[in-house]
Amino acid sequence: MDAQTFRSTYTTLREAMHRVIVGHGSLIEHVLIALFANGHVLLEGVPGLGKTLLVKTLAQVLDLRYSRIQFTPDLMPADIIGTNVMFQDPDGRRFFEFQRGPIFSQIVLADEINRATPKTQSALLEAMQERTVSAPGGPYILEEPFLVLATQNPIEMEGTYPLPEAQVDRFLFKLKLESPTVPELIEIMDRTTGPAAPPPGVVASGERIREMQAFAREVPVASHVKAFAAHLVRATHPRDETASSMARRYVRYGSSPRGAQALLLAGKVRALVEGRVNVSIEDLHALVLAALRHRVILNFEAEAEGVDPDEVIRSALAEVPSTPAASATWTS
Amino acid sequence: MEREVVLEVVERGRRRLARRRAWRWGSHVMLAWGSAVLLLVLVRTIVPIALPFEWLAVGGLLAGMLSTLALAASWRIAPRLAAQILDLRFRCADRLATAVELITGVHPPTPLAPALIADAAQAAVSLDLSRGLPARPPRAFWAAALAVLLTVVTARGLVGVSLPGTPARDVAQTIKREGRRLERAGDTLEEQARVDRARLSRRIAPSIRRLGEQLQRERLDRSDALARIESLGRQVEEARRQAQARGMEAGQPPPPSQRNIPSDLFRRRAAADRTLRQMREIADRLAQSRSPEERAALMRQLADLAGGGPEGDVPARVREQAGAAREQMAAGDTAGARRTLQQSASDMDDLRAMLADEEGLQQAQRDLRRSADQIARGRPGAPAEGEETPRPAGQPGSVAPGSRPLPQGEGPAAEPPPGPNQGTTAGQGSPAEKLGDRTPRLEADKQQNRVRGLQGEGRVTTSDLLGPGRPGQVRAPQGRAVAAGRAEADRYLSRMRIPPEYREIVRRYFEALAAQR
Repeated sequence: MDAQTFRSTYTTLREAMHRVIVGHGSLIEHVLIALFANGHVLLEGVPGLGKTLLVKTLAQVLDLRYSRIQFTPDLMPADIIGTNVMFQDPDGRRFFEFQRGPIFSQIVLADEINRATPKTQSALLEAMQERTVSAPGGPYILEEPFLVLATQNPIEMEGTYPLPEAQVDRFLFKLKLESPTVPELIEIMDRTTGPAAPPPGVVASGERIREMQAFAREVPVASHVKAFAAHLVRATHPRDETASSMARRYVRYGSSPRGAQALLLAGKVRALVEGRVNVSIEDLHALVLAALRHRVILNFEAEAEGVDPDEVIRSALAEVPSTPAASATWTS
Repeated sequence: MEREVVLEVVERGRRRLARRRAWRWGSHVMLAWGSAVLLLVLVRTIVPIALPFEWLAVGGLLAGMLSTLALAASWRIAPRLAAQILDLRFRCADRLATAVELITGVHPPTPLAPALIADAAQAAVSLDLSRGLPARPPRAFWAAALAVLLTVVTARGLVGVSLPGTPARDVAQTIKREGRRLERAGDTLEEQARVDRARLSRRIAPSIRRLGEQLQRERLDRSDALARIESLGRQVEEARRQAQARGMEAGQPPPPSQRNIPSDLFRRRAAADRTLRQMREIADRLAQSRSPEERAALMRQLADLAGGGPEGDVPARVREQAGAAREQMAAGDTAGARRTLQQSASDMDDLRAMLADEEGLQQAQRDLRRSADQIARGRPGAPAEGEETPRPAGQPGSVAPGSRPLPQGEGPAAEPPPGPNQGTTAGQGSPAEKLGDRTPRLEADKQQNRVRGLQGEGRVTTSDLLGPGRPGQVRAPQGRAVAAGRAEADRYLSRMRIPPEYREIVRRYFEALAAQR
């Protein structure tokens, strides 16, 4: 594996997805970055924007096992991770055998994840973070690559259970889906109301994805880039001395260290995608919203004033210097 | 190889960054300096400031450039930080900084290091440092140079320019007024020198007049005006020294002091005039005297002259010639004695011209000094610090009466002080100017005694004196006169037939009359 192969594979993958998905260029890019960074994605958008299609297409082009879990209030953890089912052998003896749930896939679509109870939502915690499932006869290790894409509807909040912070923090990115533009909408209509298009072919195997995930971790990061990421995360903490002005006013809890990890790891992937073998501050700029927006917990004042976490992060981005102070740079 | 390329480019960038930073700092300092000097030049139209603005501005620019070079040579930046700045400026996406960290061992080794360094070297080779980090001075430097140029031009263009109603305008007016005064003084000195045949004064007088004309005509600031006055003052001083040396050669003792000695100068010149008159009178009488009594009287007068005169201020040469004339007269050679006296009178006349020369030059010095003091103070009509105006002999100074020793030559025989219409500038100038400053107040303690008490306190007695009136104006107590007038009115009102409706009106009429009285 080298940088050129990485980039060409990524480009091929992206083009294959674009043959099915209309628009959503940034979304596809971020989902692929999360895939190569070995992270999970929380998709937020109104119904009908192609979330399920996106995940299905990704599974098709990667030749990975795919499962979809429709989260409902009566969904139980066993419905996700699996349960022991009694079997009877030809001799008439009965025994329990663990029947694997839909989590035992490589690409899992957790549709409307906020409609399940917290108990059921928490069933995903171990699987997402540890990539194992603890069950009788276990633990069971999930096969890599393992990618969870959860969706939630930001409008219809009645009867939902907002994800707890610990759960949200497990996602590498939180991506917002935007409505398609008029040309994109026309293209969608053309593709979906005409003759059925052939399914996309397989571009990369799971093995290739694992190689690319390992390769991305080798990308070096300059010390000042790491310092920038750290300062950026600290700037979202309201009680930190380097906190941004908006963070001081509107943030209840700032980003966890996972935010910095996510930022840097995704930055490495993006650097390779951009044809570089080093992480740049530009990479962090491009990824910071997706990596931190679900990790910044706003206070009541922010909710009352309709402040978006993205505004807080942009404020931090603007206030954190990307170069060392001039006074500390020069000596005579 | 690629490592060397990266490090070499970063090193070049370091040097350029140091130079640019030094230029930026130096230029801002130079700009601030130039702007400050320019502001001072503009302020000079309000407040008189005597500074060499052009030299200050140009010197500041040169000092700033030298400091810039020194800073550029002394400032250092770490290669890693220089690489960061180069990344930022040339949009290298942190390639150089990451590569430098890998090369210098700051970053742990990674399998991607060779690829990264090769990538960074490729980026470094394509950098055009001379374009991205040009060695030319920043805009602030040209702004500073422009400020200096403006300062030089403005400083020269605004010489003598002042805003109305400002201290600078006061100075400008003072310069012009002193120019008029010096021009008049030059004219007067020339005229007087022509009369007194004072050669040196006559030579200096046009210079004083020209200086006065320059002060009036040209736009000069205070320092220029003072410099010109000082320059002319040196010429006058040189001339005065020459006059004094000539006087000493002619046997005239030098004045006791070189400064502020008008009374002494007046006294010496008056003595010379007196001696000259006496010698001419003796010479005239020699031709007319026939009787032995008259000749004896002339012999006594010649003996007095030979002895130094009543004041002892006759020059030695005159004394010798008077003695020789006396001997010739005693020998019966009256004609020879007369020739000797005439020769002596001629010498005395020359000496008198020298004294007049010296007096005129000293007067010129005083005029110049006074003008310089007035211009330095910048206030019209204000007496200069330490200035001693020419005070006529016999006029008391600032010391208390009785404590000042009476100088020689003062007394009934001394010449009276020149008044407003006397002296070398008769009929010119104001009396206040010619008489000088007011006499200083005596330094005596003044005690004010006040009788304390309350008005109307104590016993008050009044009494009326009755008796026959005196001729002239009649005086009577007002209260009694009013009461009498009112009683008279009542009496008339009751006796005359006055309609009842007019009675009150008539009463008020008489009462008004009584009140006016």
